[in-house]
Order: sequence, then C-alpha cells, then structure tokens
Amino acid sequence: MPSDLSTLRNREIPVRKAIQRARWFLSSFREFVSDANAASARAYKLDDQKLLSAFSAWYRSFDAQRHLARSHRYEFITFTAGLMLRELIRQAPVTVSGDSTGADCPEDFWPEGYLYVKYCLAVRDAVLEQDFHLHEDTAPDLDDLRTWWSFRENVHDDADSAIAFLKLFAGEEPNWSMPNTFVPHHPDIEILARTAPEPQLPARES
Amino acid sequence: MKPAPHPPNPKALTLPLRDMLSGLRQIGLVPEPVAKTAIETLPTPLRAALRDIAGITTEELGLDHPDNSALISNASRALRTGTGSSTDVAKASALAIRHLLTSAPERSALVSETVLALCWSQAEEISTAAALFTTEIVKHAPFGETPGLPSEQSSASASQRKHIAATLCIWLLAERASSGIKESDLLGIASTIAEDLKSATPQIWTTPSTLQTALTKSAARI
Repeated sequence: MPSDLSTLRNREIPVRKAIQRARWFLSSFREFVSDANAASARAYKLDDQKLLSAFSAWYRSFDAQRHLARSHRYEFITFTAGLMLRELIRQAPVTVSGDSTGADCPEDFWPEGYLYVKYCLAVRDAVLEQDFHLHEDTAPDLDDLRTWWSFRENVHDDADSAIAFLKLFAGEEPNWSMPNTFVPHHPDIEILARTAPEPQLPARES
Repeated sequence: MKPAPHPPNPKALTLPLRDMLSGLRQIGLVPEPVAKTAIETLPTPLRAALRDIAGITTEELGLDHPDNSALISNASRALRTGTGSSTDVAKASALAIRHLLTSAPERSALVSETVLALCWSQAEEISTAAALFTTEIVKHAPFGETPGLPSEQSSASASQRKHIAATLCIWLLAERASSGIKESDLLGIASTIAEDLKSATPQIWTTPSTLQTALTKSAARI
C-alpha cells in the first residue's frame, strides 16, 4: 500500500494547507488509488463524486472545530485525520471487487477500509513530519486482524467511532465515549518536549 | 399520440438567430447530422459563420480542450476583477453550463450566450461582480427550454438554477495558476462545494456583499 503522497508534498504550500483544497485532496487520493492498483492484484475503483462529497463533509466538520486547535495542533492533526476517515467510510468512494472470506490480514479482510486508513495516516504523518519534524511509526493495532473485525463492525453501527479507531491505529489514546468532539489533553509544547531527542553529552577527551 | 410540433414564426420571437438555431436543434427539427451535412455544402465563409452561430464548433471542443483554456482564463480574470470581455465570459459560461447539463435531464437544453452576455453586462465594473452575475443568471435563466418552441422537458427549478449559477461562478473564481488539473475536474469540485450554499441562510441571495464573500470563500476551497 502506498504512503508517499508526492502530490501533496511537492507543493509550494504546506501539506496541512494543501489538504484543505479540494483539487489537491482529489489529486492525492487518485494518486493513492492508482498506486494501490499498481501494487495489488485487486481492482480499486474510485467514484470522484462520492470522494468530493466526503471532502465537503470533512471540511465542514474540520472548519467547525479548528478554532479549538490553537496550542494543541499535534492532537488536532490526528483528530482531523479521524474526521476524514469517518467521511470516507460514510461516502464509500472506493469499491473493490472480490471476496473477503478467509482473509488473514486487514488488507484482505477489508481492502476499502484499509486504503482509507492508510491514506488518512499518510496525510497525518506528512503533516506531522513537516510541521513537527516527527517520523511516526506504525502502531501494532494497525495489523491486528481482531482490531479490524471490531473496527468494521463498530463503524457500521456508528461512523463516529472511526475517529477513535484512527487514533488507535496512530498509536494514540482513543476517546471512545465522544469521538466526534475534539478534547485536547496535551499542549504541543509538552509533546515536543517528550519527543525531543536526549541531549548528547560531548565525548570526554582522554 | 402527440400532435406533431409546429415550427414557430421567427418574426414572433425575440431571440437572437444563434439561440433560435440552437433551439431548433434542441427539439430535433434540424438534427445535428443533417445540419452538419447541409452546412458542409456551403461556401467556406458562410459555412464558418453558420457553424459558429449554430454553436456546433463550440460544443465539439468541450471544456477541457486546450483551445478553450485562454477563453476560460480570461473569463476567470473578468469575474475576479470585475472587468473583462462579455464575449469571453458568455462563451466560457456557456461551455461550463453545457458541461453541467450533460449529465442532467436537460441534456439538450438551450444555453444562450446572448443572455449570459447581458447578465455579465449588468454585473461588470461592480465590486461584487461575481455575486451580481450569479443573481442575474438565476433571474434570467439563460438555459433550459427555448421560448416559443414545443418541448417535453421541464424547466430547471429555482433551486437548480441557483446551484448551476453558483457552481459556474465558484468555478470561474477558482485559482488556475500551475494547478495542472482539468477544467472539468475543477467544475465538478465547484458543483460539490456549491451544494453547501443550499444550506446557507436565504439572505445570502439578497445581499450581494454576503454572496460575494460566500462565493470567494467557496472558490478558495477548490
């Protein structure tokens, strides 16, 4: 599954701004689906209209809560990626032909859902890398098939739970009770202090 | 059985010749293959003139044809600055409206460049030109049934007219520099974003400055 997003990264504007423009969202998602088709034996089919409806719904949700970010941008980036995942699951712009019975990995179990999660994580990682100089590692839950059973069942009943699952897949603490409300916990300065490399002592001269 | 349609008396119509020819093609009195064949038999200067006023050339080129990019850029600049050729604005707008109507039931609806040009002339040189152009289009509906000609098609509703007009202006206001994206994609995006204006307060359609702000903000999301 691709995760480079060169369409978003190679712009004159930062990724966090580019993703707010429908044209770059559309281009990057098309690129992502095209790469997925090239790398897989499956046929991923994209419906542009549904994708744009997902973008529009995501933008409205994002815009309504962006004022809450302020000094909690790190946490808001993951929350925003979760909002995007929710709208992609709701609008279902990608269809994949084939049977998922007997699947032994998340990508086989739910190819569309796996593509949505990977795209949202790729956007999140690109923003964190650019704005916070952080390189995120994949959380173990992303490849756990039992988590994916729960994920698929839960989002079927309540699409908002996709926001909490995205946090889980990103290795953060999910808010299961009110996933669609941004509740900041740690200011950026605290997160940056935690993730900063240990200062290296200069080597003692003998 | 429906009675056969009767061609109207052209003297009784106030439409420009171009719209009348398009209208006749719309209801199938002059099918396009017949019109094309007939036009090809004419001397070159007359052939070119008739091809133009019948709208055949423009429709063949389509929104994404490279020959239309300068026209669309000029119209886009006109809407953003409030100053520009009414011919460019009308032609680019007609291209976009035809494209939008292609997937709608009004597939062969008449799009009047003349009325579009008149709509632009009402809005030109005003700071809220895009908003006024939008409301003029909603008011005069330069697309739909040809007046005076029999048609089985129903006219676009007020809500559809507003959506098409808003889509058109959001598309024209969008930034084009170095985007590398097709015009039809930009128009598709504008159409989706224009849906949001449906849930906006009705006042935006009566206050030009509010509508101008809404259109500009929507275009910035493209």
